Amino acid sequence: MNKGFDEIYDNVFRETKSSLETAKQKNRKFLLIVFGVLIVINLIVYFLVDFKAEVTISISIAIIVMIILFITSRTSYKKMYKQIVIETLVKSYNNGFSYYNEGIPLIEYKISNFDGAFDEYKSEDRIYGKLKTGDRFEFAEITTYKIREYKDSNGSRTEERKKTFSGMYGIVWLEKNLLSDIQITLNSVMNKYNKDRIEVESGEFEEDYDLITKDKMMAMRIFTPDLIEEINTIKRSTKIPIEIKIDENKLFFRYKCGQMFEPPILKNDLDRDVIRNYYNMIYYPTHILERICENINNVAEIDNEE
Amino acid sequence: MEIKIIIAIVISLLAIYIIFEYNKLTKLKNKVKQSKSSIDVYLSKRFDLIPNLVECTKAYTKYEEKVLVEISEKRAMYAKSKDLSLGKELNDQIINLLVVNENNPNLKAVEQFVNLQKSLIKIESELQAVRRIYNGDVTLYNSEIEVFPSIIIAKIFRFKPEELFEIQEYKRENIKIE
Repeated sequence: MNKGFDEIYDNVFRETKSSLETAKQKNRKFLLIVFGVLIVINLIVYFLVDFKAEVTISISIAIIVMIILFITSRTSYKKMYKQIVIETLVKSYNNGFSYYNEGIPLIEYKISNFDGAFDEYKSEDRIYGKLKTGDRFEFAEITTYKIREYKDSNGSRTEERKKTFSGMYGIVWLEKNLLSDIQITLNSVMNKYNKDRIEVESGEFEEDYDLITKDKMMAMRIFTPDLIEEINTIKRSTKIPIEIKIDENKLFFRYKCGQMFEPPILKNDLDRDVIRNYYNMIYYPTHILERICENINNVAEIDNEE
Repeated sequence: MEIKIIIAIVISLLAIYIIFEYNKLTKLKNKVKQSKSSIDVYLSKRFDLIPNLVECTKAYTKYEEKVLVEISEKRAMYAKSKDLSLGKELNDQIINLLVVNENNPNLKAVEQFVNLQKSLIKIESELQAVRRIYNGDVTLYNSEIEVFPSIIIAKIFRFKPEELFEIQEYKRENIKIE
């Protein structure tokens, strides 16, 4: 059973506040101790050593060590934050869902054919479970890069890393096999000339998306006017379009939302708006997936009745 | 001499454009015709269930004989003419008849009627899908013949706008599928 945000925010706040505070304090203590030790070492060097150069080197090394330690502690705090806050949020939203820090394997992204070639792939923050229709799903944050090597004006080899996608990617393993391919892709001029494109009655939908399939009947039976309107609502609320591909018994989706569950830097870690953003990251995709799967199951039920 | 070449080029380009636009409008019109024939397929499938429905109504419901005869006659007329507006009228009458039958407690357990409802639900789902595909094709076609400059080609070659098709839906909520 999926719970509303107001219902779970107090629970998340209550259950995670003290664990987060403890984790933060541990981190701060460690950094302060290291900082203290480095200051003592530098003072010793300053008073014992005559040569300014060695004092400068010592201070520089101390600064570098502090920066490395700060980055390392921030990384480990992020992991801890996600284990404490995001896991609690996911479980509060739906007890049947699970959260893992690790992401989706590359092979599971490649089978969707969303991206052409890319050179680097990263994934983290995987959520998986069963939708209320009984279909198994998982989604995670993924980032893909293209790396281009070239020689600069000095003749030395340089690498240029370009981000090709950053956001959410997921798969649903459908209980019913549709024996069809249906795609909702982002609106593109080239798609207008695709003979498999279907014109949908919603002008708002047509502005953002193209519905493409060889099985027009099945696509229209699944993507009913009310489901189309739900897809429009998500775009209106989040300003981000969602890409969907149904390939027989699998549904793939992609959502260019950037980082999903990064702890805030300037705001309070349990700020209501921050937690609401995380909640929306779980609510919007699971809600639309449940609606699509419901329609798929309805169509399959009707067809099997005969 | 140069002017003659320019005029010849302009005329050629104009001719190419006219041919291109005419072909495009023809393809869009044919797509509409194709979608229309799909609607006819599913409407006919639905109307093929009329004898079954009339039988259930006669056996279990007090319904005016005159109306049942009219429905059967309209079905025959539709089969000949394939007129969508007649199809719409007939569809409305069938749905009214179904609502009357569904309110009859004697019919809920009758296997023939329950099977009829299941068939109708499937056809309804398919009919709504083809109706939306048809309306999408009509929208594309009508938009193309109304925008400038293709409106000129449309008027010259007498491409006329098509009407959208709306039909009363048979609501699934009335039925419990077991």
